Amino acid sequence: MKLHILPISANSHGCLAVVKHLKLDEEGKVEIVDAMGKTRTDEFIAMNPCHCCPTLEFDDDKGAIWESCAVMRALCEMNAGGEDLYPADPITRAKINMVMDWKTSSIYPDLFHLAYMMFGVEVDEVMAKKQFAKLLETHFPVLLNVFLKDTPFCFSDKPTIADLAVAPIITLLKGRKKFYEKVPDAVKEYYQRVYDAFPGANEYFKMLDDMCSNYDGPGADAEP
Amino acid sequence: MKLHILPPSPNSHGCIAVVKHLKLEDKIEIVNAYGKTRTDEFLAINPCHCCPTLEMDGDDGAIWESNAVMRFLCKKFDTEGELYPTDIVKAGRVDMVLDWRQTTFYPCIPNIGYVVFGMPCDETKAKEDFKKLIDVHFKTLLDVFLKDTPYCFSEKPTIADLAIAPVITFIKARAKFWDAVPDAIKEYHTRVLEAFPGVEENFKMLDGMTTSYSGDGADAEP
Repeated sequence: MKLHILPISANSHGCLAVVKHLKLDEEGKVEIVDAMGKTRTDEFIAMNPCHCCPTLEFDDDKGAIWESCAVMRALCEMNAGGEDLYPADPITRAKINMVMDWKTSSIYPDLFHLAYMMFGVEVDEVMAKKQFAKLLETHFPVLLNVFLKDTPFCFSDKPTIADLAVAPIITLLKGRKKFYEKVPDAVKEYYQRVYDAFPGANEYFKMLDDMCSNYDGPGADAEP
Repeated sequence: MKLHILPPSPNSHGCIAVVKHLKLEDKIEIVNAYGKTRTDEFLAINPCHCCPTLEMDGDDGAIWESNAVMRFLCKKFDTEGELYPTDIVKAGRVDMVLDWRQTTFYPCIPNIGYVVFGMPCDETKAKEDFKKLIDVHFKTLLDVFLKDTPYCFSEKPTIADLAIAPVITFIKARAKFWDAVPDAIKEYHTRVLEAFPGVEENFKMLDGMTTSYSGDGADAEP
């Protein structure tokens, strides 16, 4: 299989962490392909008409899938050791799925105006403040007091793909230093805990971290 | 188990469809949670006070997020893989569509459809979001997910279709927007809803709310 990724993108990092953790690249089961600058080529669009990353290209002409959470699920289901990251028990798995869906439905949309200016996208500074207020008042409390209430990882004593969906996106807040100072320590500690659990993806985590920490363009110095 | 739902909400409709289709009514009580999601009792079950919420047995707690609820119900009860394939590659495609619905499709709906709930909507964004549906997302649905099959990557409807089709009803709140929806989308929408007659009552509730809506934005041009 081939995993097409954008090395710096938090949405690719979870999939990369799964591949490295399960040693799928070392065992020749998954080839990691840097798709930067290639997602609008005819070849890529033939594989993924939605021209996004990560994309998992199956073997034997079985096509491809995208959407980071779907890719992480498939990698875990298809490979030995995957249960470590995506527990088979239906109740635990349901909770992991819920957190992944919460990531896409709730917290990730509220990062848009906070982070996308680093990728050259026009954002609304008033909306950035509002979104950060929502992180502080709603989303971080849900993460800490519900998903991490009794466990160091979301509903789990060990990190799962739910944590890989959530933690890497927190790095994006480093693009606005004064905002990041206000992120609760418990969230920062959780984020670091997840990163430390996946040393194989360090190189990619560091790329995004460096980009965000060194960002000094519009909004970098904004007050939350 | 108890499935707490909001009867007219398309986010609840997929879960109700799974319960009815797999004939789980003796195992799962469907509870109308309208007006109750901020009570202490509900918050104890789900601190995120949203629906659908599946309250599991014993001390297993509860889960929410409609796609997670549908996946769980299928994993536990759909042993034949009828609504959620057991084949990993097929399931991977269904998962991708479920996630696309969350990340890409559904965010274009609130400004168009939430007017029926009396919520303030941004009219400029409603037009922009509808344009995205027409220019990009309906094409993804028709030309990619439904390219070779009557349902998303499948000959029979799955939970991916249940995540998408009920939501399309929201567009009926704005008659002129609905006129501009491609016929193939409307046919898909009807095809999915007709495949789940057990949910007809709930589908009709939202349909009635949207088609009879005449408040702000009802007559807007797309």
